[in-house]
Amino acid sequence: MRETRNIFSWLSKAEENSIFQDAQKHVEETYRTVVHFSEAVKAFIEKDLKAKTAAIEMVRESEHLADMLRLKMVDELSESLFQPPDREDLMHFVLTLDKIADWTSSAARILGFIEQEFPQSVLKNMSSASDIIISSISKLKDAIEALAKNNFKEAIARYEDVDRLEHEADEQKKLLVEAIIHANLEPVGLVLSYQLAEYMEGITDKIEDTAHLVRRIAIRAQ
Amino acid sequence: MHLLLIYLTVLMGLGVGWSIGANDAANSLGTAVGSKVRSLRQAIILISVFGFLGAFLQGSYVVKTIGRDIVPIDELDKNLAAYLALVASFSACSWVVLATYWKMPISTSHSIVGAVAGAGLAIGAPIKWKVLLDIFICWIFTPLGSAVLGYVFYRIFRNLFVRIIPGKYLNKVVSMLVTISGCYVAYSWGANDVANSVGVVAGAGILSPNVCVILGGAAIIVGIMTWGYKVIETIGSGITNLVPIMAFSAQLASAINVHIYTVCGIPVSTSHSIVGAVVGVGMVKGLRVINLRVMREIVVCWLVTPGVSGLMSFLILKLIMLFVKA
Repeated sequence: MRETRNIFSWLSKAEENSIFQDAQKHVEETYRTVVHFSEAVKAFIEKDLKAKTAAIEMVRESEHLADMLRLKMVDELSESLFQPPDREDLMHFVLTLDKIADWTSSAARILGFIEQEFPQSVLKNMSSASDIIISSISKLKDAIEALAKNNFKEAIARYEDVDRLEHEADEQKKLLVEAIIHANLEPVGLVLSYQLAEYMEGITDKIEDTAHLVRRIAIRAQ
Repeated sequence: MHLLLIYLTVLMGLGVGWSIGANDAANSLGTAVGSKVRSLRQAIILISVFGFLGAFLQGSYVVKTIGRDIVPIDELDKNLAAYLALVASFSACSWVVLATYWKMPISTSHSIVGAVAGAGLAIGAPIKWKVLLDIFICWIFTPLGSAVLGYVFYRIFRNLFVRIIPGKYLNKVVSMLVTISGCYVAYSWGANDVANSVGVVAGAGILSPNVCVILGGAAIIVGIMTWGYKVIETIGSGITNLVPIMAFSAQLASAINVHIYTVCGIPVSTSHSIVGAVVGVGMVKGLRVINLRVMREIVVCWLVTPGVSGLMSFLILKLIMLFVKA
């Protein structure tokens, strides 16, 4: 509060808030990316090839839009003459946030290659992993909204939720890999399913990385 | 004139002076601290010295405008003048405090001018509307003028210095110029803004103009030393992406701009001036300085301030006059 009547401080704070508003749009788009991926997983489980292909295409489109938003935010952070006090953190935040959509798009690409049918044990674990990803991205979205409203305690609390879900995702990956190993899949199916498990766990890692940055910014701002 | 009235009026004025020192000192040498040209301690000392010098040597021009030229406070009954001064100071001070709480970048100059006019209207004093109109027009031209100056100066200096100053001395010369221009900004800021705190006090005849500028300057220094250094530190942590030559051009443009208005006795916002100058400098490089969304918010703050402080002082003085008459 002390520096916000000073015009330079106010402008830099306003830039920061503006970046956060864009970050919220980026999170919305990233959220849509993850939701479309989840739909692709569900369509794959239900053996609906057409729906799976359509959902994967939606993942690509959302990821592209998220990329455009990232470029805009990086441009704002590098070109503006009034820099937010936590410019380095914000830049890191924007770039880390973008990785969520990147990893989701990569996971969707792998899913697109899979043609082999998987046993129920594998599909069940894939579905659980997808649900964890959706919960995790929702909590991240809440954390960023709280930060934009200067509700720092709420932002930190949502980080803790994301952290817990990331641990769950680690456990879920173990279960999924176990199911894959015991599924006696063909080599191609084995490699692709393992890669998919890696990427799905990686998505929650990236979500947790972003939430960690949100927490750091919230603690500094308090 | 009641002694309590006098003390309260002076106290309110000093409160505004403190706020000016606390919040706006960083606009002068904050960028010098950021680019490591000056240490924080050096910056505090320089801003205090030059701010006070400006207030002491040339503060009287704008003190006269605020004290007499908007509402002829010196021609009013002594008690009425004291009430007007108190209410105008209180309204300006309150609005500044509220704006700080709500995180709005308002101008103390706009606040006090609005407050004086509002208080004058409340008691039916003759408002000099032409002077107010002139001041309002100058407010519009303040950021525009410094933007133009900033643009011109940066265009000239960024090539000129590289051509005429030998490479090994360039950094030292530019650092010195950033310091000198920062001191000039502090000087013109002190000269223009001291009237925001003590203009009405002088106008009401509570203290002489000379004593007023000394007290006002001292309040500004106290503001710098007790709170302003934190703001300077924040600015100095890299908030403005200005290289030294840009900082020098912007500071020189802003200081000249404000100094001209000071000599003409016009209270203007030194913050608007420095922002205008930075925008002008940024335009040379084609950089985005302020996005439109932020610009809208800042313009609203600037426009609303004189109206709000004027309305506050109008209502408060009207209320007081009911009890005083009774």
